[in-house]
Amino acid sequence: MSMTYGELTEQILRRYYGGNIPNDNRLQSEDLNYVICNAANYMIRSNLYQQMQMEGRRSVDPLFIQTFPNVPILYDKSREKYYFDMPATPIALTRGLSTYEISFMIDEECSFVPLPPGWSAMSKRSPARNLEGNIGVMLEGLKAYLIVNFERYADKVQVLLVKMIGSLKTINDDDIMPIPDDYIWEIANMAAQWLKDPESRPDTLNDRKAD
Amino acid sequence: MAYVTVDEVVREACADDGDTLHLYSDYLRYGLRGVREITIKYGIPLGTKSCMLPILRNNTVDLPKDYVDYHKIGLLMRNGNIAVLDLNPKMYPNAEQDSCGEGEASLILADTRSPEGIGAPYYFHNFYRNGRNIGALFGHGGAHNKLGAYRPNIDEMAWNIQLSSNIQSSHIVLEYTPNGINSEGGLTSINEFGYESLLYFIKWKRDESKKSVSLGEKLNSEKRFFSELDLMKRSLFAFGIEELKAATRKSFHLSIKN
Repeated sequence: MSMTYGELTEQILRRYYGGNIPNDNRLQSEDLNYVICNAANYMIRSNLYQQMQMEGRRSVDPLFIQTFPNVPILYDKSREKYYFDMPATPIALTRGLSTYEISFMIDEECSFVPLPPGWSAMSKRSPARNLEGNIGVMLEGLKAYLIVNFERYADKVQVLLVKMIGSLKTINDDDIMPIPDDYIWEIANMAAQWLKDPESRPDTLNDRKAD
Repeated sequence: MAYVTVDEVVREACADDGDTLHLYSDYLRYGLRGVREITIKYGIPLGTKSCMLPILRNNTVDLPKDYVDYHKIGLLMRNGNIAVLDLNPKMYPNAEQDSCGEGEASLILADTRSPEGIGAPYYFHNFYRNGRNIGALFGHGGAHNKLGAYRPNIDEMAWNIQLSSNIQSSHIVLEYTPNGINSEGGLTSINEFGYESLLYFIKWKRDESKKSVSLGEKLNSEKRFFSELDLMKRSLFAFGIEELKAATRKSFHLSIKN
């Protein structure tokens, strides 16, 4: 059975206090949100690097993927480009892997091609710039610009389907954790440990394995 | 003969390597470079194009953008055959331009029978030897094509074919090897025989760019590509029994003497 965010919070508090949660609990939900979010993101990232080391594959466990339907397409007049706002804060995975798949609502077969930063200038004179007719999307912070081959669909499509591995910041108490159950135990342990001993938090920069 | 798109090969290469569409743009660049290299460097046409091109006022024809090399330059005859023109590398490329920068019409005979420095009297003189008309013209070469002559004029400025003025047509037929890249935004397609070799070309280039791949594996990928290239060559240029029969029949025709 999948666990809700609220249930996980309670489990961490019980672990922190060694059983019952006292009435004078000083830990605020903001503190807990912060550590849960960090622990979960750390688990997702280490899962990716483990998979890369074990199998040589750049893939993330599909159980981490969150699906956001009906994400509205917007138009940036100053840059004359179509874009959409990310429905969740992406985790910093290599090559924008956290924005796992972007497509039209129904036609998932033609999912868009994520492009590396600086693609427009780099491919200016290259035959690859047209992406063989595929739609290209470039991520810029919390926005994603539809920069290649999108214009012809612009007046027919208003919303998109976005599948991403987002940070848990946007999750409410009643929401189901978008994390496989077997990771919950580790996340709860890790979070409780960090609350007791903040120094033991992993160094995300130096622990990162080579790409 | 079926055609496959480069997009299809690139997606296959992504899946083979266990990658997602996030690396599609890298793989696509390798794929298109592969098409270009196989076509130009290794001389294997992954596709041949044929088109009708209009003859301009200055007796030139502009070459297509994806042109690499020609197979045939000729005129479309009424019977549906293509009659090839004569290659004349000595022909003067018409560089005359009017005030608008358009090529200006000028007379270019480009007759292969006219050797330099020898005028018309040569012909009449040569018919006679020791006071006798010997009934044939010797010493100036044959193979004159009455339909006309051409000279490919390929440099950065003039990307065209120069034609002689005596061509009685408004268009020529050009059969050529394209560089294989569809620069108009559509799909680039290749001959299905090239599928595996393109796949291995992408893998080879991708392996070369990876730090984690050992030198041995890189060399192995390179070797696999060249062995697939050889296989493709053999399949593409295989000689069928019907072609053999047709060639034999043609040679009988040629052997008839008057």
